[in-house]
Amino acid sequence: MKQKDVLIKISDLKKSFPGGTEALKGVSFDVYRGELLVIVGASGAGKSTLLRCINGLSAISSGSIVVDGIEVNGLKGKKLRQLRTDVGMIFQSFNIVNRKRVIDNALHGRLAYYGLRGVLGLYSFEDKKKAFEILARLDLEKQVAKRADQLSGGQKQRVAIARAIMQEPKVLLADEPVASLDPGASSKVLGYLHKICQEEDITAIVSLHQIDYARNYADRIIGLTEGVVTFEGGPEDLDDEAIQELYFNEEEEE
Amino acid sequence: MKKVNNPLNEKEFKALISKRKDNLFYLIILIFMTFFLFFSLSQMNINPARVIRGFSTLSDLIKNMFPPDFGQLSRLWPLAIESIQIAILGTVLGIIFSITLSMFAAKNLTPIPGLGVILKGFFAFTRAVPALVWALLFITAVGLGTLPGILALGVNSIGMLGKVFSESFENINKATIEGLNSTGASRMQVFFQGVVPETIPIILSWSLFRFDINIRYSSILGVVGAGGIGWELVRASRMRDYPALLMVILVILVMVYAVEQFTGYARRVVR
Ligand SMILES: Nc1ncnc2c1ncn2[C@@H]1O[C@H](COP(=O)(O)OP(=O)(O)OP(=O)(O)O)[C@@H](O)[C@H]1O
Ligand SMILES: [Mg+2]
Repeated sequence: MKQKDVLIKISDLKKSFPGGTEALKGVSFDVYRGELLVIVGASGAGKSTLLRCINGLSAISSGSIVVDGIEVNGLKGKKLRQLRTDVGMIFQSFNIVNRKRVIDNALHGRLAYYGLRGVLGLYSFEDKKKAFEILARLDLEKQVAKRADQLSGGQKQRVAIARAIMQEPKVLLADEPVASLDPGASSKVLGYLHKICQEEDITAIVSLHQIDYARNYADRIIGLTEGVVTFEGGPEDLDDEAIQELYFNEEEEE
Repeated sequence: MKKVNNPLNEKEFKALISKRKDNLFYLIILIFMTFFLFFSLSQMNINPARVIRGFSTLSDLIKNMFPPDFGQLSRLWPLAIESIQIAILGTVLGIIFSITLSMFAAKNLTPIPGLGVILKGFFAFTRAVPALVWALLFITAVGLGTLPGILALGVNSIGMLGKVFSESFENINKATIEGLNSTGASRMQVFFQGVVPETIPIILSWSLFRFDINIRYSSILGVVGAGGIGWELVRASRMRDYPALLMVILVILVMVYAVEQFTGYARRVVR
């Protein structure tokens, strides 16, 4: 039975880009501890922008984002890096270091816990053991010593998941984690992501293009349309009518 | 037949394919260059007779050089080693400073935007001043010996390596950096765990290339008193000891050739 314990509180979040684009026009919602929240919306709706604001990769224009009691807006330097250790992120294009081995990439998740030793890549035995264990749970034990550029897309994304889990984050953000994978690899990667978040008791916010994946894995779904939340509910509530509203409502406006 | 929609009108099109204008341009340049060549020759008092005289002196000189004085070898090889050491230390010094400074010169990595421009200006400056001039400057500063040679090669190397390193850092995939940033890693950690590994082939091959250049410089740096075998060139020619001079030249030749073989091999391995 799930408690409704708020981990992230987003209130009236606005974000405009220098060009004048208003990507988020006052977004408010809560994220509950332990849930897997899926964000859906058409291309350009602001999904990536929203996720990037939560870990401070993008600075917000106004409003507030509170992650486990800490206001993200205005965080800088060491405090911002501290927040980022609590908020892992997975990207559409994997964003791992291609010329490093799989195990090194997983260990990158620990960097923030090291100072100069991290610069030199000198990790403790415990951390190496843990990296291997997590990679094994993602069925990558045979790839640990390979260089990341020798892996398939699906494998690279699992390495990225391992790196994020190594951070021991409270929240995991995943921005269209399977958008550049084929359908087979996609459902596999989402399966691993779902499983490991449950096992580690990590809250996840996943943006997805594909509605059926959203329905399969989400505890709750939020729909964005042009920077505004236009849907909020369980997977069962995301019916054809709601999808129509989210993706095809442009005609009504004209 | 399908009609191709030509975006240029006829006149523009003709201008595009005709080379007449270009040819005229090149002709003017050619005339100018020819004129400049003859002007320079007369200005610098270079006439054929003098060149021919020079050749005959040179051939006498070469005759006098043989056979090379192999007795010098035991004295010369430690100096050759010293030249190689100067080149190695100078290159290493250059690499260390180039990588560190490039971290602040690359647009995508620098913490202070203006700093990049200043550093790139500094790179251009150290590049523009020749190694021998740097050697003379450092001799004034720290005295004769190997140290000014090492410093001169180090500083001169920063100009080239700093430029290529900072440019290769700028070309690195932004997503890779962002991925590491998202873990909470520090600037230094992102640099040494992400940026450097991604650019290591470029760093190594340019460093080896620079070592090649530095070994050539270090063999003649001694001419101005900055250590190594170069001074022997001056000594032998002042004493008109031509067999010894040939021996020095041979040692330099072997040294440069050996290093070139080594760096060529190493660069193939790095790739
Ligand atoms: N760096 C930027 N500079 C200017 N405008 C931007 C920038 N990033 C995003 N935008 C704009 O903000 C809006 C939202 O973009 P965002 O990338 O968040 O959408 P998205 O929902 O992730 O779309 P997609 O499904 O295509 O990834 C778009 O109009 C986009 O053009
Ligand atoms: Mg996006």
